[in-house]
Amino acid sequence: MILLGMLMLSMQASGYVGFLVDRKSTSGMDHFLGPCLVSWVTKKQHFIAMSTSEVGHVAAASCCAQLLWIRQQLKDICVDMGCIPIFCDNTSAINIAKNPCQYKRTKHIDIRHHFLRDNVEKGLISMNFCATNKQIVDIFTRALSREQFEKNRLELGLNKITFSKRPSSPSSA
Amino acid sequence: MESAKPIDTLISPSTRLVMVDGSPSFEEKSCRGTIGSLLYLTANRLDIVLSGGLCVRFQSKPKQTHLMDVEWILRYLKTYF
Repeated sequence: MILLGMLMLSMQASGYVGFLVDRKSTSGMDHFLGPCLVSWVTKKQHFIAMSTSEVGHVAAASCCAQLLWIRQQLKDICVDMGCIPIFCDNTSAINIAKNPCQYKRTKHIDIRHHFLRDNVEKGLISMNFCATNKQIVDIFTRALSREQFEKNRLELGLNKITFSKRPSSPSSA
Repeated sequence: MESAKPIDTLISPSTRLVMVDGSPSFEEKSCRGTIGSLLYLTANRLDIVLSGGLCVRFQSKPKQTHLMDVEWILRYLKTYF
């Protein structure tokens, strides 16, 4: 069965203080099913974050919510995805999700964002590290340099298709 | 837009959009339709999602700089249609 070879992964990134008017950050995520991009999000977060890891944690939590929905959809057609990896470029955000302790700088994070932590404990989601220069999803959260932008665009699967002119028939040549 | 110069990226990394930047404001109705169309286009053009979303945030009381940002997107789309 072809479906057995499928792997779902999602990338998540966050732009700290992306919007200067109210100092709120932007979260961006994309979800791949096999090689195909199936959903993508870019969203200004609802609250003002005090650190980049907090932004990452919140973005990962909303990413997790979307993943669980996709997971449920796939379950309906009898596809079990197992543990779905989320790739995040912020190691502290990953550690917040893995470690259930409360620290001075994380205890104010809203309880609904600890939803992620719960799902990691259950083994539905796993948090993994991905270097910033390999994050495809950066295109959704910040303005990139031309090279980076073109690279990300290509990896998302956007290609420029150029149609070559129809070869002229021998009679007209 | 026919004579617009093509560009390769949407926004420069140094762009910082703010509400009041000293540039003149203009009639907001004129660019609302354009932004609306851009939002419609984001359904299959992922690359303009970020900058389109940025323009939307300044739809009320837009300034000249925000209009320029919309024009950049249009120029980009002209290059990579």
